[in-house]
Amino acid sequence: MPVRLRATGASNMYVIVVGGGKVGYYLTKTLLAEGHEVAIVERDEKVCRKLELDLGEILVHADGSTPAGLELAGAARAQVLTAVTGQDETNLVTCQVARTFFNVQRTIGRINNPKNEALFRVLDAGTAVSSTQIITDLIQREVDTRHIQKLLPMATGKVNLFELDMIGSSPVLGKTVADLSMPPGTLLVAVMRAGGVIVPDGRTQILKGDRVIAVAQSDREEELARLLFGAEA
Amino acid sequence: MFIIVVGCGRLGSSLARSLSGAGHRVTVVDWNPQRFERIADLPEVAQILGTGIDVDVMRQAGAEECDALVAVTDHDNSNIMIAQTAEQIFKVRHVVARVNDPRTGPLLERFGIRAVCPTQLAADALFETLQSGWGEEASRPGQR
Repeated sequence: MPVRLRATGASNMYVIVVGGGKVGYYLTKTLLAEGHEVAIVERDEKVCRKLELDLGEILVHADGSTPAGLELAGAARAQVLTAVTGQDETNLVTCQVARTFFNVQRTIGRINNPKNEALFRVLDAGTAVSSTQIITDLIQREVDTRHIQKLLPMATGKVNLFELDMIGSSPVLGKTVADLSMPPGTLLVAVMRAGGVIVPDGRTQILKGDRVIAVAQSDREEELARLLFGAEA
Repeated sequence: MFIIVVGCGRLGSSLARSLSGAGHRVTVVDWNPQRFERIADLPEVAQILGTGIDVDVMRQAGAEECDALVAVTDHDNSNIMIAQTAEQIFKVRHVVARVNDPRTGPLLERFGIRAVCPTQLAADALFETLQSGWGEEASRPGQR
């Protein structure tokens, strides 16, 4: 897991959570525990009555997918808005309204259908998070023969940090970094071996059992994987 | 023209009927199979079972080849999403959405979505009808 720096008092943010279901409820509680200022927006009165018990003070009974609803929640001063209702369409529109009407810099929408991520990107609606995709990725990693794991997305996924386990079938074992001819847009950052870490240079050899940390542009990931694990993988 | 109608409620089914009657090729999309009963007498209208906010469903309905798409499900946000998908992903030339809440006006304008609001149309029509019924009285507002 990537190392996360704890929020300090100065970097705390005003976060609006739209959707008071289970995801919204626990997200709100977690953000509050991290010291952030949070408002939770829910349009259903029955759901609101349940939330009122312990989130009454920060609860906004409104339709968060409308400009009027987000106005009530004070969206103009929010640094982050996250739309986590159970409906992809509501979450999309909510993120769009937050960005276009209130200029919220960071919007995160929950989606059920991973394919809706493309629409978020095309419409510049912010980041789409799909639990379907996350679980699929975790399962896929188990069956993936390439032993590659994404550690950390940077610049919303345009560049990613990877961890690659050098298995016996890798075609680069015994080669030096200089021999590898790394594709442009990729970089070997560290080699973890026998409990130690090597910051590699051209002379560093890649050995079986090494755990290699690399940075790659998203459009170069395939090339990197092919180089280190072979074409058939 | 090849036209896709998303939503087979009262409005969607009536629209499909009119469009088909006018000689257009029509495909209707709805997730609820019972709704297709409304167009059971129109064998020439194709039916696709599935949700309109799913790109795979829309592709199956022919979104890549259609000339026009109308989003008339019961939910405004769905229609807004379907309309944007049609325009941005499938590059459909003519896209119209139905919205029920007249307050979505500014939002649609910002997003560049062409829409029709039946609520507003009905309110305007009722107002017009009332006004024409008042006739002379209308020129004396405030009097009973």
